Amino acid sequence: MRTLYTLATALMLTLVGFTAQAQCSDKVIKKATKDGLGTYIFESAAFKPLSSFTSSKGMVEAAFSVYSQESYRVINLCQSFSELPEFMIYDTEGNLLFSSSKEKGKTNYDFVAQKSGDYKIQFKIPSADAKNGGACVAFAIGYK
Amino acid sequence: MIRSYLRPAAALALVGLMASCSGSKTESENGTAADTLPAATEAAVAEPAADPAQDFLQSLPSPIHVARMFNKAGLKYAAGVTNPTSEADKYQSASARALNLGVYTTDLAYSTFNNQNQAAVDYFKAVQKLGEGLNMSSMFESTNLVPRFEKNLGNKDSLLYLMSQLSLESDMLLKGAKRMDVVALSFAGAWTESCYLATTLLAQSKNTDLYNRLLDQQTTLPKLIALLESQTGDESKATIEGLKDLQAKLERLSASNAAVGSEDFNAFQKAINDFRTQLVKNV
Repeated sequence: MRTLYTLATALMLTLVGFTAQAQCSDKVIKKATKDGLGTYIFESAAFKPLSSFTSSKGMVEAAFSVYSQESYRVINLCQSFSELPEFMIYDTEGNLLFSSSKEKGKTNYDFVAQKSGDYKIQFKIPSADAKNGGACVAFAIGYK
Repeated sequence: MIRSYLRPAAALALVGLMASCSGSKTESENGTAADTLPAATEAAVAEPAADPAQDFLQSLPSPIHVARMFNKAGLKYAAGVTNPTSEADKYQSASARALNLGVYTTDLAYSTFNNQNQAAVDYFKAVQKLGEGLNMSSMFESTNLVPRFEKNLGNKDSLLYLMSQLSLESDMLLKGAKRMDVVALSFAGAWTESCYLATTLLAQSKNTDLYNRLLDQQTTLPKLIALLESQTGDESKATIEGLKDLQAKLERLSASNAAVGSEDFNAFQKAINDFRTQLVKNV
């Protein structure tokens, strides 16, 4: 009995170790990026475990650069959440351009940048995932 | 009997703990400052709080996209301005390889968009050589990118697709391995080469669209500098100082909107020339 208990504990510790490493898989994100780009060309991607954000308060922020008159696609690639986090996109002036809450299940947003500068993405983390150690916040950008 | 079962169980437990801890250690050694933030999960290892400004995700534009925009704005080909591929063998340090990986990526795109097919193939091979020197061989082996590039010479859409594949594969490989130092240095090299090519060509023939695209490049500099500053290695220090000087000069040029040939433009051109010379001579 004691041996079984020890083995079970060892197995749990092993799984904890592997889970901590498996939060953001570049292979999974790469495939999701290729699938999501469609006719757009890959620009960049960024990903980080949800557990590495400290001051999220239910929101995680991201930034990316755009150039005026260029066409872009933003792809929400968040992985291993109980449901896909809603995402909002703000332009260089801080105006809300898009919110996925109005278009449930939408993972992409396409736009033409009016001005060069930095755009912001906010991901709204579902409350059920506040302590989800396996979740990964990720997005990719494509251009035409 | 029990003892004989306990030994492998304890070993298994140790492996589990090591796997967990090594993940954290790799992140703190090679990742950005944000990677070392204390984790919110119970399983995470507590670490000192990092700068809250780093507590977000950010992405830098693709050097290939930047080169394409410059090309669309009228950046014509000029022989002899790019970094010769014959130099690729001399880059021996990891930082020189990373910086010049970026330089060659921009030169690859510049040659491709200007239909310089042989030069484009040579630059693709130089990118592969430096990539292999940075332990990125698997990326070229699994995708067969160089032969596919050679096979599609003359088909601009296919070449753009293959360059974007190169960008995707390297971005994922480096970020997945938490090698943000290589990401940052190679972007610094690409940024420098793009601005160097644009200012060199602008000095030869005035072009408003190209000039405006050059001014746009100040957008990415603060993020690039922040990313470099989040790395712990000393090899980034000279690059950071050089980029800060360029940032100040580019901001001054943008604020004054001075013409090509003006004092502000000449100051930026001299600074980018000097910095780029230092960068490509760095071994």
